[in-house]
Amino acid sequence: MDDLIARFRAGDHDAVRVIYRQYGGAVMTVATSIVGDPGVAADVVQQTFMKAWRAAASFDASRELAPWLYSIARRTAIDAVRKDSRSRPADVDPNVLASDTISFERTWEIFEVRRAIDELPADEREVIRLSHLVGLPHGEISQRLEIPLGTVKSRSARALRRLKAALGHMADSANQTSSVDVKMDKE
Amino acid sequence: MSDDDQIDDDPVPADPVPVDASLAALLADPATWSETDASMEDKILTEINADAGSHTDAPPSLTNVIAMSPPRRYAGSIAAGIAAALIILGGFAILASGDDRAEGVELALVGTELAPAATATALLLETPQGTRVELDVTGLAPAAEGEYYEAWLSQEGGGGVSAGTFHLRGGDGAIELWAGVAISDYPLIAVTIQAEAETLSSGRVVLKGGIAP
Repeated sequence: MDDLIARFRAGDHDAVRVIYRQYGGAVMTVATSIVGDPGVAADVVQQTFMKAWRAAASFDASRELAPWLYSIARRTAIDAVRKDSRSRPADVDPNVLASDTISFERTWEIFEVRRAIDELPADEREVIRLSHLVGLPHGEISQRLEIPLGTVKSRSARALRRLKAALGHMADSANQTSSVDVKMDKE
Repeated sequence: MSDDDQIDDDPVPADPVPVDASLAALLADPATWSETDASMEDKILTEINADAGSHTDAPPSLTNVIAMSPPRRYAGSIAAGIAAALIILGGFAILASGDDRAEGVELALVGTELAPAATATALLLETPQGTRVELDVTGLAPAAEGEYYEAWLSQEGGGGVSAGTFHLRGGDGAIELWAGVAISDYPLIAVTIQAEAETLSSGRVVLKGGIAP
C-alpha cells in the first residue's frame, strides 16, 4: 500500500487505476447518498478522483488514503448540491440545504460499508445483495442462483461475519437483531 | 468463488448472524450498491492525460502549489467585511491506525459580493506540527497577475493569522495550507484577495462563513 500511495502521489496512472478500483464504488455510494441523481453522482466521482490526483503530491503518506478520498468526495458532492440549489427559488438557503443532507458521520459509515461490501468475495456479495437489497428469502436466492440452500446460508453467514469484522462497531449487535435476520431464516 | 466454498455442505448455522439495524438499513439502500458506468475509469485516465498535457512546465501534481508564507497578523481587529462566523458541518474522523482517531473540523464558506459564485469547504486539523487547513474552493476566479488569495485563521473580534497563500491559476482543486496557531484559539477562517505589495490583510474578503443555527 505504501508503494501504491507513493506511486499515486507521483501521478502514476496504473496506481490511479488501482485506487479507483478499490475506492470508486465507495465514492459513488457517498456521492449518490448526498446528491441523489445518478448522473450528478457520476460527475462527482470523476471530479473526486481528478481532485485527488491533482492533490496527490501533497498527500501525507503516513495517513490513511480512505478518509482523504472520502473527504474529497463528500466536499465535492456537497458543492454539487449547492450549485444545484442556486438554481432553485431564492428562499432555499444553500447552507441549510447542505446541513440537511446526510451527516458527516453517516456518510463516513456509508463509505465504510460500501468498501467492506466491495471486499467480499463475489459469490458472498451477491447473496448479501439479493437478500438485503432485493429482499429475497434464502429459498428464492437458492433457486435464482441455482445453488443449494445450505450454500446460500453458509455464504450469507460468512459474508456477514466478514462485514462484522470489517465494520466492528456498526455490525456488533448482541441485542439488536434486524428483522432481516428473521426473514433470512425463512425458507 | 470464495476460498471456503468447500464447507458449503457443512450443517447450516443454528443461529443467523445478527446484524445491526443501521447496517441492515444501509445494506438495503440502493445507494449503497450504486455503480458508475463501466467507462468511468477510462474517463478519469483521459482527463488525467489531458490535465498532464496542459502543464508542460511543471508536473501536474504541482498544480495548486502549496504556497507557504511567513505567519502574518492582522493589524488590530479583523477588517470590516469579514464575517466572524462559520458553519460547522460536522466533525471529521481520520483513522490513523486501528480505532485511533484525530478530530478535525469541517467548515463551509460562501462567497461575498466580491465573489458571489464562490464556495469552499475547509477542513481544519490540528497536528503536532500546527493546524493543517485543507481548502476546497470552487467558483473562485484565478487571481490576476500581481494578486493572490490568502487564507486567515482569526478570532472573533480579534486578530488573524495567515494560513498561507494560493492563486488558482491552474484551476480549482484541493489546497493545503498551514497555520502555526491552534484552532481552539483561532476558530474562524476567511479568504481575502491581496495585492503583492500588501503585507497586511487587504480586508477584501472573498469567502466567509455563517453561524450554524
